[in-house]
Amino acid sequence: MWAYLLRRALLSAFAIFGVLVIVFFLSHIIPGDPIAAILGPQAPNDLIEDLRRRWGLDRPVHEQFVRFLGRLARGDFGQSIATRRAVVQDLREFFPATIELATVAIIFGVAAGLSVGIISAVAHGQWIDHVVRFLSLIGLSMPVFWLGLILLFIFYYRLGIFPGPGQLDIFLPRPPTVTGLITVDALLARDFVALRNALGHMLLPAVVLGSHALVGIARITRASMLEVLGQDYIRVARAKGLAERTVIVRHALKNALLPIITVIGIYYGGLLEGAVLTETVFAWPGLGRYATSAILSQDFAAIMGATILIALVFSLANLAVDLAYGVLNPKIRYE
Amino acid sequence: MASSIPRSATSKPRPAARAGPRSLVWRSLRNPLTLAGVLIIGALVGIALVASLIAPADPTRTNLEIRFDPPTRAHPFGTDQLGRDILSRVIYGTRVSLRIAILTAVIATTIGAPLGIVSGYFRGRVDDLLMRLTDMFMAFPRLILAMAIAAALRPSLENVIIAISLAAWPAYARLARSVTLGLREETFVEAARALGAGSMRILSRHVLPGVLSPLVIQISLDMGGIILTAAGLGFIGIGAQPPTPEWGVMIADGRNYITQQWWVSTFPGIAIALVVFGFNLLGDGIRDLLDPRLRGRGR
Amino acid sequence: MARYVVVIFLLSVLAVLPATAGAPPSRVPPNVLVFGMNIESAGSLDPAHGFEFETTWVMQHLYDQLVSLPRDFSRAVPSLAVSWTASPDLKTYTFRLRTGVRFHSGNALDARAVEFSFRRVMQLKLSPSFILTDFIAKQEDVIAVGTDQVRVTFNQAMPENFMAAILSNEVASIVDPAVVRRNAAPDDPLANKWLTDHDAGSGPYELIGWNKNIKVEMKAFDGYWGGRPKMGRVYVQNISESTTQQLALQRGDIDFAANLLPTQARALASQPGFVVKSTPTFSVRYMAMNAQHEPFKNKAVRNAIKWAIDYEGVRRVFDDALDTGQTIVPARMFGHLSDRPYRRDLNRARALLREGGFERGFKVELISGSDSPLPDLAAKVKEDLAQIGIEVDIRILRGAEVLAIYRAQRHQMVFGRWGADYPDPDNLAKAFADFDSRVLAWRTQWDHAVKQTVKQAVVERDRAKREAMYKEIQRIVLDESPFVVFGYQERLVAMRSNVKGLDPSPLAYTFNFAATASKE
Repeated sequence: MWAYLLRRALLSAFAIFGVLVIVFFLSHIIPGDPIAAILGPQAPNDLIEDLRRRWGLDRPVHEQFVRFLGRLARGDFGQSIATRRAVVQDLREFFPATIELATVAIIFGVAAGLSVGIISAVAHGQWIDHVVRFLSLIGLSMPVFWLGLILLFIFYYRLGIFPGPGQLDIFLPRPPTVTGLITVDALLARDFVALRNALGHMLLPAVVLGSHALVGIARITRASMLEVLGQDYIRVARAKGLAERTVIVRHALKNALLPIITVIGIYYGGLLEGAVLTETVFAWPGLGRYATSAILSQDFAAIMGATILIALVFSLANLAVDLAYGVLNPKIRYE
Repeated sequence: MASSIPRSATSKPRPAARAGPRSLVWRSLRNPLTLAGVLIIGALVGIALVASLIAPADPTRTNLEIRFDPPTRAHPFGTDQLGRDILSRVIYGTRVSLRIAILTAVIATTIGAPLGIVSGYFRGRVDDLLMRLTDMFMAFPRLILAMAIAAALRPSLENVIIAISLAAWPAYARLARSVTLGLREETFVEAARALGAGSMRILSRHVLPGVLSPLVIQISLDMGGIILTAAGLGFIGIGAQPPTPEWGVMIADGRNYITQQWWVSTFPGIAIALVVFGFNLLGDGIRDLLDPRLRGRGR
Repeated sequence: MARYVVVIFLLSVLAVLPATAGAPPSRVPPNVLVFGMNIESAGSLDPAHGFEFETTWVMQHLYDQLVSLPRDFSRAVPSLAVSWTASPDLKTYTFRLRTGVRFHSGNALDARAVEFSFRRVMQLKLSPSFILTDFIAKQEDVIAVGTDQVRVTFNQAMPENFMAAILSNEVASIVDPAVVRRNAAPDDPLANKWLTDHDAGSGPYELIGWNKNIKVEMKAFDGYWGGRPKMGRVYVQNISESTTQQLALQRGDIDFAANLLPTQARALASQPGFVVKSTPTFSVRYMAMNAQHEPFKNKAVRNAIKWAIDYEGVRRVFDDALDTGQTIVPARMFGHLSDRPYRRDLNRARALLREGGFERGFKVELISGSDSPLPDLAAKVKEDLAQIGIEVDIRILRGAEVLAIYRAQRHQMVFGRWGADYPDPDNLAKAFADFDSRVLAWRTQWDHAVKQTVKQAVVERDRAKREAMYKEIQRIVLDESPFVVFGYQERLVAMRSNVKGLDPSPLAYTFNFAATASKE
């Protein structure tokens, strides 16, 4: 199995490198002048040229790529044109915010999705089942950014339930940075006020982000449970007189978990996609927003940094899924 | 992704399935959800075809006197920031969405299927190359890849289609490949080879039909996702140019006015949700129809 | 059975919910001021570097300059300099500094600090340095005389209001030399990197911290020479969506929203408890036609377009947040010409097209940025010009791309916006009418003899004569240039009604100065 993992990891690394090449050249053929854009329409020409030279942007593309690789080997992703500081620093700041959001989103998605899926499977054929299936499909159909806007409008504006923009109330000092994840840092510093506050701010965007995952997990849970419930050993367990609860949880759920876990891993990776749109709507300072504005403003170093990170996370998630699948189902033979 | 509905353990055994495509179609239509899907998509196509007849106004005509009018008899969906009738724009938007969905599916399949089939049939270095290539493309969430491509090209409707197609073809190639891998071991293929049939003939006569049906299932399940991705791109700002009535762009237009003029963003959003919903139902139905015992893993 | 599962579900949801349940809505304490602004483009807080509106706005709380400007921009008001004398040729000013002024660090602010600060800007040669270097030839022209006097020699005659316009700009802020030296690095001897997010100033507020894209935190400086400001703490929270700013203001999470759209501002104006203020800015919205592109070579064609635009409709596209005016010097600025000769007159427009030889119209490409309401404006212009047979092909591009094309002179028609760098008509005249200064006139390839007048006007010492020259420049631009001026951008801000002392001013960065704010 380790051989398999190693091989997959190498393949992923190769793929990511290929992605790097593609994105690098792609971002350099975009028409436009990010330097001029950053300096603004009123900056004098010679200043722009000067800055362009300082950034090395006047050299031919392949030469820039080589320099980029060299710096990459040293762990230097270059400087963001927009934030004027090291991309590594930017990533270190924005990446944890997305991870936190995605994790809370997936927890929500799993908890709610499992529950809904189990209910639906157990109540199969009854009206609850139909309602749930119907709602799931509708939930899957709504654009995530539209859902975000609507929920923001209803819950923040009209009802005033959720706290305002940002990760933390503006007066609360941020707990000292250990991991970069506000919730974890707050826990480590035993700052429960900040912890509660941060979770509160995260709730609405996490719900929106996790909505698609919720629906997907609910669907696969339902299907998987239904299949398992139709098996002989379930009938045997019931015939033995075991309580329904035990049957469901101890026997059915355990065996139904395999495809569900696979799907969870897939959705976690897919949350990156949703993060781009959700973070834009909620102005959440995360990786998705960073990548979007980098792409839109042709911030080359930032695009590359965000690209590598996203591809890495996505590949890791997929790798984890394969690994989990292999561990949980020893019958699977690898290609 | 999910399997079809197995009967519960205590029900009576199922009557033998009747053969024949017509009865299959008929049976699936009796499923209310599939029927709903067919109706919705049918309505979508219908509206797109007769848009010019049923739309009450020109979707691009501005009238600054009546900007931000709330929904009234004259303008059932209200007007937007330039005084354009939103109902008409939503109606014409069906054409835009349909075009995106169909063209993307066609292009992605045209690129992906042949590559996948060739790769799966001939194996060897070609196969390796394709696998590495698809690995590269799939190392990325689809939306982000489409964003990068769309941003590199001029923002326009055509380039949105190209961008999403380029982000979607690897999945179809992989699917075609894996089906081909299975098919090439089948006895009828071996028989054909033994009889001296050329590769092209085998591919087109034996392999292609077998690949077609899983592909169709995948495409129909993907349609909804494609429209959502296109709307997402429009929302970010890399979509169709004004005054084209693309729904994602319309939602973005209204997002600053959501507190006062909620209708500008709401109706295009409902339209998207409805259309995607219809495609999802239709996709489920087609999958149930073509492969009732298919147990997908999701990817 | 179902009950059991429902319980699991509810428990999992409740696990997250208490974070918000029962949490009090955040109320801003009375000695704290919270601004909601879009500070995403804030780059650097180094006065020699930061040029964006957001950064200059923050900087004015942290730093002082030699002089400042009154509301009518007509003269210099003492700030760090209490008095000054000018040489007869108005080229050399000698400033006497205020005594007893200290930096946040405690160090004394003396003439050497002023000399250091100016020379530092000129050595770093970053974006805003042109404001100084256009008028001060070399570093040695700024020199400390003793400990409390500074002599500045300009490269041209500077009437007092013009001198004030330049020296009150953020780029002429005085920084603490000792702090700069202490934080210098071998590859950064003037501490440009450190000053990006730290402060070395003497202003009414000290910088506590700046989390990029999240917030800026400032606290009142007890030893400020002008007296400690009333608001003990000032926060600037980054809220990039104007809708969210409005909601946050209404919920009480912020005191002041800086980027509202006109519809939102109007909604707030009708609610009790909020105050909405609007001010015209010195920011000109215009469309430029490339004078070397075939149909536009002909002045008649250019003017045909000027007669075809529905200016009233354009104002409405901007939600009426556009101050009317068709000349390049904005209203309320010295030298503004209030003539408005153009209005929508399709017959005249068609006649001019005929005269220009394009009776049957033509196709043309219009490039626009994607910020609201430019795409809408493009759609409107397209419709207007269609009425005289001109077919407009709209291209909405990112700002970076629009700029690249504009600067490369490859546009046909393009939307632009020019905000005055300093409150003097010279800035606008140079940009729009002087081909040689290689700004807008150059970009749109309009080389006209009026550029000589521009060069003469800036050194003209007689105020009345100078005004007349600028009016003449504006008339020529109206009649002959390839610029269609739509109007001057109005700025709308909203605040809670208990906030006093914040008054917008046309100059982007001097409005809403928190040092004068207080709460009832």
